[in-house]
Amino acid sequence: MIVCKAFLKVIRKNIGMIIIYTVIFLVFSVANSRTGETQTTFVSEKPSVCLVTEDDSLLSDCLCRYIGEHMEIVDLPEQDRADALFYKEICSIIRIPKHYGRNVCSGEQTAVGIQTSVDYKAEFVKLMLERFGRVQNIYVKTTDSEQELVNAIESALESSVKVEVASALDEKALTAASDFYNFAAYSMMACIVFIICLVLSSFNEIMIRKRTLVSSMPYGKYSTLLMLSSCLYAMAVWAVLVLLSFCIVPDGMKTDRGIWYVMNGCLYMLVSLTLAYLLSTVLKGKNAITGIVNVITLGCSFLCGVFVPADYLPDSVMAVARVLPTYWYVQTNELLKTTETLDKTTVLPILIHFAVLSGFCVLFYAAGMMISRHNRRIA
Amino acid sequence: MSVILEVSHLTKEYKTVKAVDDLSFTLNEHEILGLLGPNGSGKSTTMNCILSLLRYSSGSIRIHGKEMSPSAYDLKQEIGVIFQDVAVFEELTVYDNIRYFCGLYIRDRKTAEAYIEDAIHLTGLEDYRKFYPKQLSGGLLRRLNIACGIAHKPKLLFFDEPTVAVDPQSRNNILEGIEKLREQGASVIYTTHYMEEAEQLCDRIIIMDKGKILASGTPDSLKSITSVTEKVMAEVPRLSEEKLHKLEGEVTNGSIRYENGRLVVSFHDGKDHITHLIDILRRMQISYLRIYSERPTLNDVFLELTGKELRD
Amino acid sequence: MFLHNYRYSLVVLLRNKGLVFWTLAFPVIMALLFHMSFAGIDDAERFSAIEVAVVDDDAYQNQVIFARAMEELSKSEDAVLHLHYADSTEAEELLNNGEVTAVISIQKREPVVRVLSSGIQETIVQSVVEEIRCDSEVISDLAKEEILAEIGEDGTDLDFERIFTDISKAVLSVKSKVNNLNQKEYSFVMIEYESLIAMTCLYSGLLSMTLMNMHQANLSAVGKRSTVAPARRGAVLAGAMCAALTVQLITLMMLYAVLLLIVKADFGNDIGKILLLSLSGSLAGLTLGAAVSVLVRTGENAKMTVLLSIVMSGCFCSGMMGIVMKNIIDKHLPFINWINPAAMITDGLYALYYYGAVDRYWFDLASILLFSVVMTAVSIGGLRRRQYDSM
Repeated sequence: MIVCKAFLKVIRKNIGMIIIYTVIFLVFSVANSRTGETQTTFVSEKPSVCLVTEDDSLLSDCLCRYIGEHMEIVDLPEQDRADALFYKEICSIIRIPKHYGRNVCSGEQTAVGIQTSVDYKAEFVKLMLERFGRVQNIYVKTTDSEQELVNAIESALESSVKVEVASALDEKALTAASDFYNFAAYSMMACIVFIICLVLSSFNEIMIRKRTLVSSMPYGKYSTLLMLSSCLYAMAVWAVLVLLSFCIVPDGMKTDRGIWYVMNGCLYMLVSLTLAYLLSTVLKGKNAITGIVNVITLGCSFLCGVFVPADYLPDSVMAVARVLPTYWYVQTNELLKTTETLDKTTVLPILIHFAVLSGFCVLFYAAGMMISRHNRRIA
Repeated sequence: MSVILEVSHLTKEYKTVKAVDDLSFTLNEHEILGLLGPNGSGKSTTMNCILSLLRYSSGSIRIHGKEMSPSAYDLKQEIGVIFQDVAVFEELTVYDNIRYFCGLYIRDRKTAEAYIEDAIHLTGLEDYRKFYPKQLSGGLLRRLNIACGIAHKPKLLFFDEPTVAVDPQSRNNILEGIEKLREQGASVIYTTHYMEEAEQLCDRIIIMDKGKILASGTPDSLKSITSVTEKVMAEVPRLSEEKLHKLEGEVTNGSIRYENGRLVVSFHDGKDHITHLIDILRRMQISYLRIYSERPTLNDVFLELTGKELRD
Repeated sequence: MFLHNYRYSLVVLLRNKGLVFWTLAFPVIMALLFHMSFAGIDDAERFSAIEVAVVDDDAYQNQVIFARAMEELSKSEDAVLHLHYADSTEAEELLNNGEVTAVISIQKREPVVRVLSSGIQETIVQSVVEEIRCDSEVISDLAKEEILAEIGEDGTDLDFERIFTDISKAVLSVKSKVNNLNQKEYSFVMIEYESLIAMTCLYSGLLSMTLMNMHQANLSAVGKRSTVAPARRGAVLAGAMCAALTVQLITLMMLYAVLLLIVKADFGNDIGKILLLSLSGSLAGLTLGAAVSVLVRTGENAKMTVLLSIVMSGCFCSGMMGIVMKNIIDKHLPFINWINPAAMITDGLYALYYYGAVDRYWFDLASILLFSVVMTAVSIGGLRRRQYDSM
């Protein structure tokens, strides 16, 4: 009991660090959380664009209406447009030149101008404008007036296609839950590994250890108590994160995957705990701990799809990331997001990932025990 | 002898507590002045005030007749300080540490190098020039601490408990070194709570407690304050109340104290009472293991002045 | 005195392993981690043909015009869709496995698109199919008119195949172009590297803080020794700060070497202005560290915590942990980034590349220098003839 009490008192001294990591995590989770109703029908995405028109003709009005139907028009002053494009507030700036309507009707060369980024939304905007242009170019030869042309274009572009959503998954809710738990990997690992390493390093300080070794408490019992105290702290961190998940991404957590996210988080917590134990036997001094733990937690997070979606990481990086436990944790979250139904077949890969994470736990703990035993002999 | 340092009515208050209370003293040229007192008596505070490190509430501090202040660079040029905590850079070697601190005082490179060699020689660090502080023992570290403080050959030296946690041999080396410095023309203020050091080293001693000066003077003059002229100590494993009472009746010119198997008889007149006491003990059939006598110490002076031991 | 302190401060800094790690090694490690993580982002986000399955059954084959238009579309060089022809079961499997984004089939003579969820790729597929359907209707309308016209002229021996083929060719060959007004492509991810440079500049505060702590009497015995020495504080601290700046310049050179040679980041051609901004940023970091050391009157650990909190919060607001955060802060809480040196550095580098050395760059540069002046004034004011109430 006295060992546990001492452990908790030392943790309390580092409460500032725990709060900082939790606040960072909360800010990110809230900023990135997506809310919205479950969608069982298809809803077309409407990218945001800035529309600048220098023409006042019927044709340009028709084009503006068409753009408004398929895109979200954002009104921005000139000086803010370039930044808005860079930061992806808008995906395109569309410019309708002067005398556009008159030039089209008289057969002169003219075209809508576009400034875009290079992603899918920008490509969609380009496609839609080209589609309008094609229909306009087809009908300009067969109509006699601008009004006729506008009528023909609008009639042709009314055409719509039925889109069915095959999946019953609440994609947005599950994406939010996956993103939450993915980012939680960084916070959880940082909170657990950093704090436990700091606390255990205080207990492992040479003079303290010597005092412990000569005391009447068996060293095995002492070690076990320290491990249990660390476990208690790690479970508290995990519990807080789970609680936050139910507050911030409740829709995803209420599905049948909710319990799987929680279990995955629990396993990752155990991995972090055993990693902290291993590192505490190796690292000496607060500076070394701060440096190495930061490199490990940030490295795991960057390389395994925590900060950058796994889909965007190069194959070479993903190949290297397989040796890190965070990779298996993130992959489980991705599976939970995309798997249509959870049955015996589809759950098997998840269970394999759980087994791999358990293997990491055993590996870290065994390595930590060996090093600890070796250190005791030297002391 | 001219006065080199004059402290007048120095007072330093922390909220309601007076760490230094109306302190006045002087330091003469080539003198070693001891500030003796228990922990918390205000010795280090006094020293920090003199060095203008601490703001004080009232009083004045003059060195060579000039007011001491943080910007009195001409006065600072003459001062050397050896702090209780080792004040060296972990990242620099022994030689580089001394070189750096000497360089803050001596601008001329050749002069500085000559002074550094003298300091290394004085502190016996010739074989450790390229060592880092982490590689030195406690005693050597203290010597390095001293070398950094004296390298620029200051005329006024402050030693703040320099022998704390130091082995006896290193302590003797330090005390001998200070004597040498005085011979070379330095004046020294030496703070300590070890009375033996103060008695051995200091020309004059100021006894402090709770920020006040209790007494000051030479060691002999301080000892004359106490009414005790001789103390005889005997190790007596067993002494009954009855025999103790009887013994008190036998010793008419002194007081008796018996605790933890040690009998202490403090005589208030004359000396050489040991033979007389041996006779009394034999007569009363009180067996003892060892018996010896000593002259009164500063601890006795302190005890008389404050009612408690210097080591308390 | 200045040179004396400069020399020894440099030695002290370079032999401090902790400092060397945080100021030299950590930014380089972060740059490499960024490079490994972000290398694929631009390509991943860049548009590439969308995988689509087509149910090639009788119903589809009967829609001749639609089928022909689909094939024409997928063959072109800048094809938007990449088609996989399959039967209904195979197509569903491809969809469920995530190998295709959509399945296109003909039901009751109308095209139907099946997707797993709503999204931009699915919306693109929808709009392409709508366009093809629209083309089919246009071809059909124009063919009818042509047939009626030919029947009117000469009512026999109509070559329907030829009419449909000619009209299909005519309609499908109509192209439309939009004018590309893009000036410069600037990777979104560059903000991360600019933020990293800002972080490295501000981490120089650790260097100046370490040296300032060494010269404060209430923090260490060495500080006491330094304070009682007759050396002018100004010369001592100036030497220390210059040593810190030297180490910082070495750090920046290493970081830029990694960014330019390994990461192959492009900051533009205006090397002089980039270096000027980086140097000013380092000055801001140094003076910030000095000011924190003077103002925060607690132990060394607390000072370091305060400094790191300020730097990391600043980097967070400048987009290091989420690129859009800078934009959000600029829009909704602009006053934060007006006083945030990390945002000034990041914005200056961004403006230099994106806009050239216009007012915005000079404004950021001036802001950083003003920040440095303020921090220096604070430090001097705090240290001047300082005495302590307690130690």
